[in-house]
Amino acid sequence: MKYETVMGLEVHVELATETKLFCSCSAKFGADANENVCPACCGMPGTPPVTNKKAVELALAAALVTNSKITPVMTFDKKNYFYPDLPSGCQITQLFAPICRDGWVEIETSEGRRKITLAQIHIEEDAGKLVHDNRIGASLVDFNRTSVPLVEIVSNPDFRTAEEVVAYLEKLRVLLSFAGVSDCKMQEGSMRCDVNISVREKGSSELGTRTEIKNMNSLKAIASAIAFESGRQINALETGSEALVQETRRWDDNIGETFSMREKEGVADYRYFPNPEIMPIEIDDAWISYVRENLPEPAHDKFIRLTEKLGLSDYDSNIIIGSKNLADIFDGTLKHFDNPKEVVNWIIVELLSIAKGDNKGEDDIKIDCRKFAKIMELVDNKTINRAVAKKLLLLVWKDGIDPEQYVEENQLGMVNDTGLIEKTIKDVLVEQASSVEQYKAGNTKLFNFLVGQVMKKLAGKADPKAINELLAKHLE
Amino acid sequence: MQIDKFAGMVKFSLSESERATIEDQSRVLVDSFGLLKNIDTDGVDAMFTVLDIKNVLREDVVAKNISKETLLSNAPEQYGGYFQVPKTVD
Repeated sequence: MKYETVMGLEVHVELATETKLFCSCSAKFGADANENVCPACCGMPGTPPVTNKKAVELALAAALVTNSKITPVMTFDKKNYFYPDLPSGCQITQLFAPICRDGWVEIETSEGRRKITLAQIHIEEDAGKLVHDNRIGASLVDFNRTSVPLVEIVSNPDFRTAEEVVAYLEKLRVLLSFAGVSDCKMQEGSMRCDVNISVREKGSSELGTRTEIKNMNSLKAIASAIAFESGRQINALETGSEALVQETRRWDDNIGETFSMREKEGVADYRYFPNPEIMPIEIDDAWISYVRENLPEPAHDKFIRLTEKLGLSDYDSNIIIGSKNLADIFDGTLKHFDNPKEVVNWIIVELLSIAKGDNKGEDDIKIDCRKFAKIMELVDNKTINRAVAKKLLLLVWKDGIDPEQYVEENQLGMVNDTGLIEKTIKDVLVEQASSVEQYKAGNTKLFNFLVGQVMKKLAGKADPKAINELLAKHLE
Repeated sequence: MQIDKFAGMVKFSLSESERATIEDQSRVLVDSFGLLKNIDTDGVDAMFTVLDIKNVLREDVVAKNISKETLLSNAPEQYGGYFQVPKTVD
């Protein structure tokens, strides 16, 4: 029998705000436990939530880049459940009037292009973090993440393959990070994805029993989890080895299997009701226009600019627009050194390899664009050669040195004195007389060896092109 | 009535007499909603609030208004800067 897999995605994305959704506590990641907590976000009675305007605007940006229909008057609701990471006993979210509905995102896979439709996007607050400590036999709660703003992007069950799921998540990451909505880092949890998955006979229009898979923090893990879970479900249907139940399953990346998370006490009953503490938020056309006009350049427009206006290759441009951070470094550096091809080369060839050596991905690269551009300028005006420039870049990366000052203090400037270069060449030709003879006898490979000898005597500071030309002249 | 189910969800344990009181009070409440059901609301917009206030928003600026020590001082148990609660996993 032929089966097909049917999937819908719930993607949580942390909004890039300074403060939490309903109070002025910092939303920054990585603070000491309970450092960014106040009576409001730890659920003390009598502390009403006040909505963060920026969070609404970032959610609006998410609505715009996903072609969604914006709700004219949105409201917040309470979703009730009891768990120690939720101090108020309810999560503030949107059920009845979410910020937008009916969006779509176009994806491209080996099967071509297609639209994935979205049921809705809603704004909600994150929960806290529980640490289970076996030594003291208790659980410890950190409320720093409590009430950090998220949007949850809920797709329709449009996905049939893991490739589509991965393409969609990549597309969302690019759309949202370029719109400034979120940095969308799966590894750090600022983008999280739950997959609702079921299988059915091909051609059937009814949906099978679905499970929800959680706890996948990379695209690779998501693809593996989908492969495992659809296999498990098909096997269950074919052999009757186990009964499929609607449940939440946790992906274990080390073992490579999904596990039932908990026997649910019946269907979860969240007793949603409108949150009377938060007044409705009206989103008029003027506000939508304001957000639209202030959207940063989308990745696609940037691609067109890079290829058509700046004359870069599709290949290079795709690398640059693959990461909002790289694109920002590109634009930031271009401001100080107006040579797009050089800037792209330095980013792709040098910067990325240095970052890779430090186990840093495209999104984690931090570099002072002014200093980065300065290095290119020093090469361009022949103050230093490329080899020295590469060393400088490493020093800027590691120690944040000032390239110009460093070159001056360490006398790394290029030897431009033709007389000195010629004198050095003459010395080398005498010292390496046997190599010179072999060269003249036809072993042309020795030319580069001789260039190397001259460069060595000049402490690596000469322009290789000048040595090449002068040496060729002397060997005639 | 599903008093026990709801009590379970909010982790309340009720004595027999408390249970009876709540059951009585809840019945009054549920019956009131029954009354509302009989009202013809066709063509009437849903009312979210009786207050004529909307768009209560604040700027995205960090403010710290309480110290961690004060915050934790209400906790029955704390450990190393965390709120300590009964173990939630086995």
